[in-house]
Amino acid sequence: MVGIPIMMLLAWRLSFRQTYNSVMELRQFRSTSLQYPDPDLTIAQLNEKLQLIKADDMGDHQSTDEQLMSAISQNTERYHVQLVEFPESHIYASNNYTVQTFRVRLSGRFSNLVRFIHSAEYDLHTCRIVSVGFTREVHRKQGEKLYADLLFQSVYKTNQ
Amino acid sequence: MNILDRIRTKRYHVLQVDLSNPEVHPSSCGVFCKLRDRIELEHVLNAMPLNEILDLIPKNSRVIVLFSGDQVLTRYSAEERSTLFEEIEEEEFYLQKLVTRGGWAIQSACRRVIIDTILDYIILNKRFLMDVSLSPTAIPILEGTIRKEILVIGHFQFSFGEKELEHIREDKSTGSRKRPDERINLSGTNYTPEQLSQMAALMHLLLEGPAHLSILKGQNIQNRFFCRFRLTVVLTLASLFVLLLVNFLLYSHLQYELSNLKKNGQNKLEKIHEIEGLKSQLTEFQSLRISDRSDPEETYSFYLEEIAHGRESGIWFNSLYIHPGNKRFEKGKPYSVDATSINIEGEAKDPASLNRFLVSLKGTKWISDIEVMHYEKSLEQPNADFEIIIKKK
Repeated sequence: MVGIPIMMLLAWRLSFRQTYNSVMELRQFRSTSLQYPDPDLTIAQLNEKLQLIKADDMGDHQSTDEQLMSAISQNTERYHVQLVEFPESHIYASNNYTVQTFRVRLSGRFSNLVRFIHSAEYDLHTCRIVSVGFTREVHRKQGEKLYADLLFQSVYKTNQ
Repeated sequence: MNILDRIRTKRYHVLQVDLSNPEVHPSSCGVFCKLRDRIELEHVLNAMPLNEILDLIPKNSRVIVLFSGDQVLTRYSAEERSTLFEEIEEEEFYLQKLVTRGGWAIQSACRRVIIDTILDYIILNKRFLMDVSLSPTAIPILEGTIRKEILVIGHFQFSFGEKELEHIREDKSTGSRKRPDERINLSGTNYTPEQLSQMAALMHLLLEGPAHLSILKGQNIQNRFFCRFRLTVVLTLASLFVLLLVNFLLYSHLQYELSNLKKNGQNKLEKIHEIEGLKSQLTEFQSLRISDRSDPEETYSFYLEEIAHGRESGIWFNSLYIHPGNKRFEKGKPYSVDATSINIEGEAKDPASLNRFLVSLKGTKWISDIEVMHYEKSLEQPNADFEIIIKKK
């Protein structure tokens, strides 16, 4: 009598379980096939989206900071604002992508700073502005000064 | 190997039925238990009608029936090849034969009708019928166990020598037992002749196997419990086999179908894998990228202009943050901002000025809500400090 449950257990482990796995595999295969009736079209759409992202957000990370610095130095003269601080950037890497964040501190008149921001939003392609902050500080010698803290971010693919 | 090692049953009931009139005449039952090295009489159920004594025997317990009384005809001969019941017809009688080591032929016969009736009654009462024996034919089976004793059972007197049955003769003393109270000592236990007869029936079964194989040809002495157990085992195994067979066929069919699908759809499968890879890339990217604008027109410069335009006289800003985030970068964590909020801290000449500013902001289409977090007017300062949070749509 003891042999019967053991046989049942062995039969389940060696045989019924395999059948169950096969059923599940077949079911998944069929459902996936139904989910993508035209896989070529789906691939094209996804590739298009990723290409758009690449064109819009992704740059060459090796030269992002150089390009950003270059753009800022050009625009500061043009819009009469001063670059106060450009500290070290922050890098975060996930599976396929790396996100690089830059913090830039500028000072100047409010209208000039807004024009600078406008220009950075439309003309800068290597990275995007993700946060803007204005603070008014009063210095003893220099008097009142307006600072703009801008955060730029770029996303690029790590594994091409 | 000792015979006892082969026995798994621990308790036997030897039911002795007096065929003279089983309904009236008392029957007795010896309950024997198997110990490690011997079989011992445990207790006796005595002097009761058959139906009452059957009630005392647990259901499915092993029962050996020993028939005795005047209805059992017994004959003996010193010649072992003798045929003692030439006149009886085998269709009508059950016959039990035994030849002793001392060369005595002992045969007992009983009418089938009588025995079958009682056996059917016992079987109907769901008792596990193991063997049937006719007394006193079973007694010589104890040959070698009883030594130098004269034993009277029924109408027969047995005389045992060192090992063999030396003499058997009919007890002529008016049918009553010669020494009814005499007990025979076997391995330290005293048995009455009746109990010894029951012990002999049990020994007969253990040594010779079920008697019904030889004497009750064609009789269905059934072992209900055994039959049921065997049937259960057979049915379970058969079901398991059928189940495995069905499973095997199903598995083969599934494998065939899967291999066909994979063969035909290999190209599609690869494309599906590619789709899943691209989708995971897209999801990962979207989770990393800060989605800061729902409308491409709504840029940071746009928000700044809108807020500056709505500013009333009597309102001054100390700080303004569009999508405020952590002031410090944390290593190993993605930098995130609150892409739905604009925080403003400043000073207001009076509550009415602040209120006018808030009303003008609420009129803009991209704002869903404005919360005044803080408003305080101290005596030392001419203006009141305030803090508001603007929630974007």
